[in-house]
Amino acid sequence: MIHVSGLEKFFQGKRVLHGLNVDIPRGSALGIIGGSGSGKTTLMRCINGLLRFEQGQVRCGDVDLLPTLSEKDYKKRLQSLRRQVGMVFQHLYLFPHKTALQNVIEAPLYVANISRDQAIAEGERWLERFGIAHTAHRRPEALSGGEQQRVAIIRALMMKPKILFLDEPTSALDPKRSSDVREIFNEFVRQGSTLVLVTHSIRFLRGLADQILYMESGEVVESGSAEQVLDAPKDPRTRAFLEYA
Amino acid sequence: MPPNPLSDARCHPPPHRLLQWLFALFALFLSERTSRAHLPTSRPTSQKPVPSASLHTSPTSAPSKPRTPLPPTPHTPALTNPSSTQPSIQPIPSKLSTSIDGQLPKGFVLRWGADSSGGMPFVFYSPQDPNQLIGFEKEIVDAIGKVLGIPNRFHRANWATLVPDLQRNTFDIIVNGLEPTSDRAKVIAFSKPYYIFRQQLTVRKDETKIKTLDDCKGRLIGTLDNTAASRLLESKKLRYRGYDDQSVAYKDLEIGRIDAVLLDYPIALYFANSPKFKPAGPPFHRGAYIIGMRKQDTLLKHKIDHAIDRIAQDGTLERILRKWRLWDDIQKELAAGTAKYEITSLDFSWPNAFKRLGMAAIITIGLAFGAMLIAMLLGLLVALGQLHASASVRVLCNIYVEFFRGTPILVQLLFLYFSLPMVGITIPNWLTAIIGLGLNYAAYESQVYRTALQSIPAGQWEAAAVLGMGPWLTFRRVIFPQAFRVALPPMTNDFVALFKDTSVAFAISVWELATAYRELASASQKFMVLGALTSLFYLAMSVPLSYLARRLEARLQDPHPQDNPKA
Ligand SMILES: Nc1ncnc2c1ncn2[C@@H]1O[C@H](COP(=O)(O)OP(=O)(O)O)[C@@H](O)[C@H]1O
Ligand SMILES: [Mg+2]
Repeated sequence: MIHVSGLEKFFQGKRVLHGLNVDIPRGSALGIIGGSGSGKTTLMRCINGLLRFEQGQVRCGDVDLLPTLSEKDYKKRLQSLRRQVGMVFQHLYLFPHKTALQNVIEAPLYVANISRDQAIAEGERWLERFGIAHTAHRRPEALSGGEQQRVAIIRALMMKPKILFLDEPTSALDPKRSSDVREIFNEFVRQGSTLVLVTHSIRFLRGLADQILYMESGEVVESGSAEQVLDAPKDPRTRAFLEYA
Repeated sequence: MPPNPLSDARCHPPPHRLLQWLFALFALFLSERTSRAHLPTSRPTSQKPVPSASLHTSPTSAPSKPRTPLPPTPHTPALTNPSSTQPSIQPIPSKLSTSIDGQLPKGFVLRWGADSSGGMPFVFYSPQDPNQLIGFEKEIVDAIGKVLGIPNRFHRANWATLVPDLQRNTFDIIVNGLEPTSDRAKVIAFSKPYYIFRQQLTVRKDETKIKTLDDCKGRLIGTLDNTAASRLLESKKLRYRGYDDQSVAYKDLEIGRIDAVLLDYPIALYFANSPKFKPAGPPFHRGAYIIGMRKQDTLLKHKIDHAIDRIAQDGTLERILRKWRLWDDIQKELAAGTAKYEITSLDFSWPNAFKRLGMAAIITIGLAFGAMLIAMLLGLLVALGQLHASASVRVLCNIYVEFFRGTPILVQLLFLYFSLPMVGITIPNWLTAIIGLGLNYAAYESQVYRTALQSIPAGQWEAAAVLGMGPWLTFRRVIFPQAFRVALPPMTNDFVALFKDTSVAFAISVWELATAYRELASASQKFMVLGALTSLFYLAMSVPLSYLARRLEARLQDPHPQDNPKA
């Protein structure tokens, strides 16, 4: 589903991704771990088309992204990419002028063009499922961090993406909420979708991620099945990182 | 030697008249208090009228000198008004009302006030030598001074506030084509006339229909506000447009915005002196120019009347008027002492004033809303151009903003007013005003919107993008509503400012609230009360606006909007 090879990304001449290779099969979940500034967010943004990169190639869904594409061609490809991909940002970026419900039905209404009644019904069902039905008519500023995170996740799920990128989606959730959310993601993957997930919570990854990728300074230090990387890391750097996690 | 009249017609552009006006208005707040304060003392306080000097002829002019030892204010012949720096409650002792032996005080300088921007042939600065004051009235003052053996000093004033300036002792006499009206008669004294004027109707060269004023039914006539001509037109119920500047009126006649101009003959003589115009019939409807003086200055009035008689009889006046081509047979009455004139009355009534201000307020509202609409739409386009367009469009937008912000709105408006007809666009004045104000405010709005749009974090664009929303949909549904919330307070500010700025529309003869105020105030001399009333009208428009804006702002920021999830 996702195939990355030789990916290099520079910011102002400084290389932050050093020739990464990543493969994520359809219907699986990849967990990306690593210290702050190791390039996790940048990697995700390069894969889902929010950032252009200088070297290598990315295949995401059925869309090929290449550094050689002209701006126009790139934008055209992004259009079909957007229909397949969703993302929950580290900083959420909820629409502050809209209520929780309005936030989650915005794209279904104006992009997917489903009826208002249907969108509302669906939105309310999700809010219910995530335990935040009471926030439906509040604007984000009146929501707690955890509530905001769940609204952002619902907003992404409402568009039924084939691939979902999550950048630290549960950092503000308590363990109980977090495991509820994990259950929802599991179901999402079981239905054949693909999940790419950055998190600092190893606990959250267990029982969700099929594969784990550990990054340091823009390089993949270790990657493998979740059990292998989390329980028997080969590289001493991975081991050191996991000791603190 | 009167130089070529038309070369002067544009040498006093209206822009600085607005400034003069604002300045004069400001000065008035002091002046009315001053004049109020000193009026009571000017009434005869001693029971026994002091026997008037032999030259006093008027029975009512018996002056009285309350010999209270008020500190004799030195008669400072400075250009700045001495009374404005003094506590305004202090009565101004007028030496000119004393008449021990009918002598003007020693060292007396006759200070006379006139609006030199009114142009030729009255009092104006020579186009050849901008330091040299010329005009037939200047020569008459010189002649009067010569008869009385006193020097004179000119005070540059504003036409609309000549009377209050006189009352507050800025100068001693008004010599500026002043007509005797009943409202002026209540507050100032009039001298004998020094010129009998009549009205001259001017039309375009190719005009065939208009031969007399009565042919003007259904046509539009231009004139100056608050003049004998405007009152004549009003009494005849003819449609007219009041101007602030005669050169604009004649310019409009030339380009066909109006069909005729009715103004005092001396004005027509100099301003309509062009092959493009012709007189429609001979001058008619006589009136008189008199010198205005403070009522209590009876000695001065007496001296001035005497001097006018003298120059009328010894041929000096005729020589001056002939030189300025103003002499005709009626002026002989001046020397004969048979010159009769009526004190024309202005029918001022409070209900009428209120109604006119109300009507003008509605026009002001229309101007403001129309201009704001243009400003908002165009401002948004310019802001988007500056933020998201190609480099060349960006440069154009920057130039637009700098141009409209960096030049006075009055100049822009006049430019638009005169340039549109040249490119074949003829639209009503009010529309020109709306467009001009709109273009100007668009420059300001664009910067409000630009900063508001820039204040929205890039993450909002990204969040919408990953949901599949295109740029336009994102702008409409996500960016704009948030930016609007940010822009609302400064926008309200600008809207309120725009309400007040609609007053510049008077420069292109749009009748709105400030024009109505000027018109009513200069006709009735009730600057203070009418000023307060007009301010109330402005406040009645801006306060609800600010209130509504604050309500909307609060609603946009309410974290619990109680209505349904309609987006
Ligand atoms: N827009 C940017 N401009 C310049 N440098 C950036 C930008 N975004 C990220 N970086 C740098 O790239 C590196 C990786 O950042 P990021 O991918 O956000 O790390 P992580 O998400 O793993 O914490 C960091 O050194 C960061 O400072
Ligand atoms: Mg990050």
